[in-house]
Amino acid sequence: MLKSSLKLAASTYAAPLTYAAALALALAWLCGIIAAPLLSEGEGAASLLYYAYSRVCHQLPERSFHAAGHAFGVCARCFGIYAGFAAGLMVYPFVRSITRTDLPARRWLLCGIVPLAVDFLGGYAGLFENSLASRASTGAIAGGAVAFYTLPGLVSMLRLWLGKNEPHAATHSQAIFDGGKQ
Amino acid sequence: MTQKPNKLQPAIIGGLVLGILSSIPFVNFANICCCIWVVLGGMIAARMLIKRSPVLAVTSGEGAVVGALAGVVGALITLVIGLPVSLLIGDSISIGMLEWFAGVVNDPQARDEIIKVIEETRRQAEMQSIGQRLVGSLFFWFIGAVVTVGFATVGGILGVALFEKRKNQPAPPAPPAPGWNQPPGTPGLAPPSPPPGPMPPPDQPPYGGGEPPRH
Repeated sequence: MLKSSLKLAASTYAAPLTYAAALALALAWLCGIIAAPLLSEGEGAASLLYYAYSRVCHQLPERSFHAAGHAFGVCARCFGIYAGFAAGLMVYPFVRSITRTDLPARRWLLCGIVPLAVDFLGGYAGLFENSLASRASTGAIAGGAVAFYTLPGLVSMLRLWLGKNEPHAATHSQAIFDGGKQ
Repeated sequence: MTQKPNKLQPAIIGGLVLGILSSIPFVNFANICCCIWVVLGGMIAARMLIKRSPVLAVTSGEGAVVGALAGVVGALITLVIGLPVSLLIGDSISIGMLEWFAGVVNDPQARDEIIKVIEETRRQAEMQSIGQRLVGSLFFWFIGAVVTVGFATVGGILGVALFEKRKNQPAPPAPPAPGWNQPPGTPGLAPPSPPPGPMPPPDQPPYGGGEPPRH
């Protein structure tokens, strides 16, 4: 009885819970990136943070933003991606309902990733010199786009886990990100 | 009734890709680009799931689940393959990589920071016993496993976004209501036409008795 009540409550609040958890994790991840240089005067916490982020980033100091004389936990591009992801989550409820589980049209994801790819490949091939600003801004666009796909996927996953069947057709009204197909 | 495909095989294949690529020295350095192998493993798992589901479209939640499963498989593979490799030769590779970085970096201050990290890595490798290194490696493997599952989940969702083209298909037609006098498992068939022969009188039912079928 208690288990079914909890399950019913969880399924009712699946979307807000998922949104809150995703936003909290994204902000915590971002805070860790910024906290790493600020804690660098002491040994333990900063080393742990830098090690954790070293699994996902090269952490080259000359390609990273700095605070308190030390580099951020990740490079400028990665920082842009994660900051853009967090910003995308914050903007999401104003653009789309958090209860939706259908994904936006694919072209928006590709539009978000192309600037990052151009900046990365162009700089790597020596076509132009990219900067911290270009890396961070193109990363932010990509991260923001990914957020609009990640949240509905997580809400859908939680509902699957709680045993709610997902519709296979889009049932919501049209929105700008759906190309008018719904 | 159309059954949904099993997620285990796509998850295993995606997990194998991301686990093996993330365990091989030097190849795993690509993960410094936002865990590219991990995200790719999740996308491969989603793609495999889509191919194994010819009728029903794969939802974003299913992509997330198969991506997460691929992340778990990949993390276990890095535990079995990557952890022993890093314990045996990990420090040498890390120091070699850092020395390479120090060679390519232009900023003298940055180079000094990298050299400090190299010296610290050497000092810690000499001071720690194999037991301490194993415990430390397991702890950091666990942190890495959590990150791997998270990024692979995102990879699974992005895989559905990129490869699933059937998003707006109408739902499959509902099976006919019971009472059609049809064998089970035959949805969508039209009701049988009346048997040939003389028409029954108006006061008799067409099928020889009983209530007419209801929709």
